[in-house]
Amino acid sequence: MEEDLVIDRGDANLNTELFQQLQTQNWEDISKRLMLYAIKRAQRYGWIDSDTKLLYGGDFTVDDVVQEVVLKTLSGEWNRIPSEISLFPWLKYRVNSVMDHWINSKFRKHEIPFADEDLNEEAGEKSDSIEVEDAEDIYATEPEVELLDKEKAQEISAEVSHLFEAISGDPELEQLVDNIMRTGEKRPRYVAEGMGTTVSDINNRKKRLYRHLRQLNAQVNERQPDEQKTLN
Amino acid sequence: MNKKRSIETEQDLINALEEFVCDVSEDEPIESIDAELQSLGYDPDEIGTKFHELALQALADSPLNWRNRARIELAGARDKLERINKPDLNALDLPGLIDALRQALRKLGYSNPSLAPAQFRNFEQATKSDLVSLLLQVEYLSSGRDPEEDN
Repeated sequence: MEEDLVIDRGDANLNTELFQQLQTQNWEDISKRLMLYAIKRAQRYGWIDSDTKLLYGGDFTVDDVVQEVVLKTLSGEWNRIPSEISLFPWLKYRVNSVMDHWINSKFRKHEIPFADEDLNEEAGEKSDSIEVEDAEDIYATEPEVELLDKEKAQEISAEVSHLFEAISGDPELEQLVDNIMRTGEKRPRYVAEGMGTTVSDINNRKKRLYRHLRQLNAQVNERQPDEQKTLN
Repeated sequence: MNKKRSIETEQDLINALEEFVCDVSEDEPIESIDAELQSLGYDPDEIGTKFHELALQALADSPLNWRNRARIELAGARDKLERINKPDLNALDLPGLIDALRQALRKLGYSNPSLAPAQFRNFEQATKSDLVSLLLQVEYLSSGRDPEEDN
């Protein structure tokens, strides 16, 4: 067991630097930010149950995701070269990666049995089954794909219309969306600069816009079957 | 994540807005983060305390921690020492142990500075357990030696 923990002596300097950096961080602060980031991301894709706080698949929460990221970072299991990427963006990237991996693992467990599976089992044969993702590849024909694309485009178009409708009474949000649309800039500091306002003002607008988008997202999710609520 | 990308389609717009609203930065005041967590049904104090304790424990246990590195290296060395054939050494009498020690020292070479304490020791006055311990240490050094050096 201990052999797994042995550090390559050649990395001793990097490990020391890394450890010193990790040791001086405010993990209480970082964890709260990571939690908020993970919650928002899970909500964005409709993966989180607002009542139970469980993620899609049913047996883990965003706390578990963030805990995994914090533990693996502090144990040095994931290598990061501090001079190449700063800690917080890297942690967010790791949250994405753990969340996607766990959600995908759960998703792959949902198998679709062949229609004659019962017959095969009765006959004592090994039952065959395919995964949902494979099933889409096998059964989807070109006209069906086109239809799905068209439906998706219509949904997005409807979502955009609903969003503009929802923010129409709020000129600050209209101005914000218009700015993002024109410039493509999403970093609060630069958005604030471009709009001649403060970062704090942009953050407040951001929260209002977030609520509108979640409401729209919830409406869209209600109309979707379960398997389409996974990875977009 | 926040790189500027031109917005050409409605899908681009939705993606850009989602990225904008879902991102959490290090610059945002922590009070604002706490308030948002609360509005989403989470207790920021509970989260903060839980992860603070988790991080303290993880840092203390981390193999990146030099204290643990030293402990792990020491454990590895002890393990190596344990693997050296102890029962045979214990079976030797005092003259046998002294003879084995002198042979092991000769094998390692008298110029090795880490062997100085063993070189100048009066073996005849040492106890059997001292000699066994010394012989184990010399054999440990010998086991870590590059065989190429013998040629």
